[in-house]
Amino acid sequence: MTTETTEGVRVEVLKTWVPASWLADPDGGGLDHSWLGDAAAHLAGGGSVTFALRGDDAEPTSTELIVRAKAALAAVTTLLKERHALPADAYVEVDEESYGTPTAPEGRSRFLLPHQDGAHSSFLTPRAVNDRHGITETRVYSNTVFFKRPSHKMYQGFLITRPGKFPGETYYYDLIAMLHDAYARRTGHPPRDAVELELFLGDNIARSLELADVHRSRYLTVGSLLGSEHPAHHVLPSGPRAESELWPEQYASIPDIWRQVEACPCGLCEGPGARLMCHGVTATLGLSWPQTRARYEAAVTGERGDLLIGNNLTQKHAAFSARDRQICPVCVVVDTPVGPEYEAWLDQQWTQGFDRVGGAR
Amino acid sequence: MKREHDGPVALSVHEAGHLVIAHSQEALTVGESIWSDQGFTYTNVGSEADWTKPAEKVRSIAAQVAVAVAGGAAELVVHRGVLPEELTVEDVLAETGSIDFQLAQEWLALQRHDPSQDAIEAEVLDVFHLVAAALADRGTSALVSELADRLLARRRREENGTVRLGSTEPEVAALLAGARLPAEYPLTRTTTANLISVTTH
Ligand SMILES: [Zn+2]
Repeated sequence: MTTETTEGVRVEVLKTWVPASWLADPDGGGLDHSWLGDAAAHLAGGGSVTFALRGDDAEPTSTELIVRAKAALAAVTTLLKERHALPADAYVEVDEESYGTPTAPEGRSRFLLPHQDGAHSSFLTPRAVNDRHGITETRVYSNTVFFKRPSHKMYQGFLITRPGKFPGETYYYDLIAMLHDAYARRTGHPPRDAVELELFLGDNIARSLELADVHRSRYLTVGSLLGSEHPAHHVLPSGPRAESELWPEQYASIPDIWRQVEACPCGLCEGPGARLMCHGVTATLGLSWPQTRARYEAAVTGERGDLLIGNNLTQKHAAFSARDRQICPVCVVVDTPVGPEYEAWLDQQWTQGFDRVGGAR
Repeated sequence: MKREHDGPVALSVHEAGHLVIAHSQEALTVGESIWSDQGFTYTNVGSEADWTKPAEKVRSIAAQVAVAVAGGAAELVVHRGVLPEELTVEDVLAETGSIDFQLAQEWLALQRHDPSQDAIEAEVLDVFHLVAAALADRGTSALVSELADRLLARRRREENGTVRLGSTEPEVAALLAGARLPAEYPLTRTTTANLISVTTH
């Protein structure tokens, strides 16, 4: 059961042109600017923000753009702490610029399926008071294999230093809206309050952890977060790309998955990863993967010098990119997502996320 | 593991290739090769590597990549008797199959955020050549054939069940103990010095 309206279901995206005068002197420029305050408020309110950092320059170097991205994100982080309950121990984490974009073998582009960055230890969880499985003691899903650091990424983002052969698109999905709809479909009635959704999510995370020896995933998938009981829907393809294969151990431990990656419910999805996603959302939302995109997806076309930031916990993000695209990942993180400040921030996310989808409509 | 396999003999050699190379890798532990009642083959490989230590992380990734391409390399070298020289990415993809190739790629991609696909493909090609050269050794080829024959014989004795060839079975262990293979393979295209550090503010 999904409602007709898509109001409040799609993530709102704000584009902010950062003034050249501020870029010239970010430290002297201070924090008292409406563009900065608006961007912080928009992020805190569940939206995504694109900061255009090209300023007046025709072609700023990538090094210069990375300096600007750090400055802009540091300023926003300070405002998020001062005005929007971001925990005081949150900080900006800047990775190295990428060398390119992994595709399927010999691919020219890739569709990165909805995911959260650093999702072995960064994903939406219930508030501790609404956790009946002990998930919130560490908020860690897996800890043996990860890219870099086991930080908890609250906001994810990246600066585009080279778009590549074609302008890529980034997509955002409101996870609380998807949870709302999956809950309503499962139970036959919409959730009365955010607490019901938190309990639902907690049960779904616990189920996925219990099935870990079967699905072998390091990240929660859309299917697992939305409550699928089929271990195949807890499997994330390599990448996680639409075009990509699963791990041999996943094929070995879930024999039924062979059939699922070979044909999807709608018959339109291309690639093992996309077809498996189509099965997962059909089981939980009653929508095929193309229908899921049509209902929830907000799209942003990224240009060189754009810094795209979104909530890494209440949103999932996806991307369609050229093989030669390069980016510099930047995130706002905490080392340990526990304690009263984190809980207060999370409380705000659940409350407003539930309000966005119309509360108990 | 291969979706596009060319018959039971090739498939048994493919899986024995995984088993032999996995056994040779210092950074890995190997369990058993499985031929399931669903028709697929698979070899269990594990690692105790500490990923917070960059050198250990790279060694375990390199070993996993070698194991991933070993099935395709064994088919080419041991089953078809071809000594590979100038292979392309397309050739290697045809030998390994898409699942194993992407497994190798996935391990390489875990070295850092978003490496270049060109570098990944070049690395897979390099490691494939190294593993194929190692398997081309007469004694090693004979070992792979011997293990493949055993796996295939078990398959033929029990046509409808899942059959296994375990690396710790005394006869298998004795055969594997006689192998002379490199204990690790180098990575040269995808490693970065700065594996786990990031700038923070
Ligand atoms: Zn589909």
